[in-house]
Amino acid sequence: MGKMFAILIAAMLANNVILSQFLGICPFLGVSKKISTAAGMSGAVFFVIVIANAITYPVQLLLDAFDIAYLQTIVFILVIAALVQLVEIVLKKIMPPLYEALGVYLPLITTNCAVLGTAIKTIDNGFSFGQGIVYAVGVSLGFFIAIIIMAGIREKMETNTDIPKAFQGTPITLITAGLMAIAFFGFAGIGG
Amino acid sequence: MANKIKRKNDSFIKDALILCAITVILALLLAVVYNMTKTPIDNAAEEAKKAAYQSVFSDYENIEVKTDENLTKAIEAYQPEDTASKITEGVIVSDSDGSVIGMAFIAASKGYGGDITVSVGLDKDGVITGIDIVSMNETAGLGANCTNEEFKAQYNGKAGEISVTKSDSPADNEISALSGATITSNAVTTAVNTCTKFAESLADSEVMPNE
Amino acid sequence: MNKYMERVYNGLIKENPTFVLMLGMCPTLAVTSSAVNGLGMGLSTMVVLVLSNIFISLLRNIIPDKVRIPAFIVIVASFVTIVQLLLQAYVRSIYDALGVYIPLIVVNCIILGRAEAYASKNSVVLSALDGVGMGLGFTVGLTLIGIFREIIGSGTIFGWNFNETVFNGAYTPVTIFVLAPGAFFVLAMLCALQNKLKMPSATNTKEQSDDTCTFDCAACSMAAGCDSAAQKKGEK
Repeated sequence: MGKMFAILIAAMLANNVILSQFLGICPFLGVSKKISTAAGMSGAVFFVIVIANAITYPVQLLLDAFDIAYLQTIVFILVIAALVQLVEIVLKKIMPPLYEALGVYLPLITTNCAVLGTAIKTIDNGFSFGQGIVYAVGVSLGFFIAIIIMAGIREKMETNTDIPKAFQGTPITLITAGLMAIAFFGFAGIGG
Repeated sequence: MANKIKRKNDSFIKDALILCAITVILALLLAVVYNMTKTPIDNAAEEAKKAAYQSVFSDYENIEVKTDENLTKAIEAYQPEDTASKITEGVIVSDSDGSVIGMAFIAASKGYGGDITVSVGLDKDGVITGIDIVSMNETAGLGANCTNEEFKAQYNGKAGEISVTKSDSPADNEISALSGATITSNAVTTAVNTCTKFAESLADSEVMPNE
Repeated sequence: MNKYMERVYNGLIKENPTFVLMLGMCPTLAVTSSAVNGLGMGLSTMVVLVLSNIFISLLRNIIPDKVRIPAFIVIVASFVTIVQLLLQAYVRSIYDALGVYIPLIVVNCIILGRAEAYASKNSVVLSALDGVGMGLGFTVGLTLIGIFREIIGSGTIFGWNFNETVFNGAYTPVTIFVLAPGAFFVLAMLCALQNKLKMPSATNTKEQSDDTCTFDCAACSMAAGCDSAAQKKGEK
């Protein structure tokens, strides 16, 4: 149990997926202009990362069994791409309100490297199935925390006219991200 | 209407077939490349291992390593005190003229960014002849400094349990931690300690070479 | 300039994927802690890009429109695996340094973006050159960022310790530049510089040229500059 908690905290804070692993930078910069869209994106990411991890883990066992582990990349990305489609269809049928909320973000997730990255890292770290799921939850919570903080700051920054012209837009966003990354260094060692 | 559905089905099957064909072609290509690179990859891994053993016996120009059945069995049976570390391989090392000079191990321990793999050389008295970092994924600029010669050299000539200190003037059985990377320093030390303790545990058995 | 040279120039300067289009930000930030790593990542990506562009362009009339995205993904993933195996066999140091970011080349939106926007519509030679141009542009971008971070953060250039050799260790490296925050800062400064000099980039041109990442630009940082498709859809 203690180990599970350590994995969760480490994945969420100390090794934050965005601010220290640099996975999922694209949506982090792209859809962090508003808290509402950021929340929608992280909801969809949570959904896909956890399910993808639950599926890729047995798939990896299968690959190992047939001694074709070198096909990992190609199989995982196909599983994830298919999964995203499937989740979209199933959500639309079963939970229309959730689909309304997350639907537009789902197609964007196939190319979110956090999903593939988490699946591969779970295997590389030699986690058990349960640990892999906890790790996936930690990663997506970390994604959520980082993107929501970023969106909050950017909403305030929109109205700030003190930012030098050259720094408006992407540069100031990147600097904010850098400062956040420094702050997250404070978590280093927790759960390590 | 029926005709239209049929055509739709036809194109669906055709699309699927084309996609399958592309996948099959690529899979064949992949298999060819995999078989081509299999030997070089294994060789490269073998070379890396050899280099890791050689680098911890830097006093000797050419060492011979050989695996020993009893030693391998003992390693498999060994339960390290610190469960975060594990010995993955051990060999008996001899000089180029064949006389046994000690043992070398490859051990892994959990660092900040995943496992750190360390090779450790021990002479016949269990004194460390050298350590080397085989692989690690620590933070650049902090933990990654564990590959620096100054850090690794601290272990040379030590025996028994080593501990990590943050002071600049470490005692005999201490090494000073990398600044800002205590976890990494601890991990490397744990791996080294696991190897020395394992070697000690062998002292009474017949595995220990030429005692 | 003929149309072949124009392709290379386009990728290298006019639509440089790192500085102008701001695509593939994950590897750009993650592996540039030294110039050699940046170069290695850039070249690996370039190889994948050129090969997949050629292959997709060859098959452009065969791949059915409906299944083109899965087909592209399979093709790109195969070439990534090939490059991964080759690196593992022959350039082990780069393989170890790049780690998990090699398989992640699959989801680099530059590659899928070029496949969708260019290679699936143009001739083999032009597509190959497009891959070369874009790949070179990406390599230059990554190497530049890597050089800056390495000089400031470790006092070395391509592993050559100028700090020790020339300045006798007088310069204390600012370690944070080889750590995660430094990646953001260096890229921010380079972007700001670009804005200042009014160079074309995703951040200071209003309209997007139609040949940018149309496949999925909202998933990329392109969206930081334009109003992303997701946000537009989300607001509806």
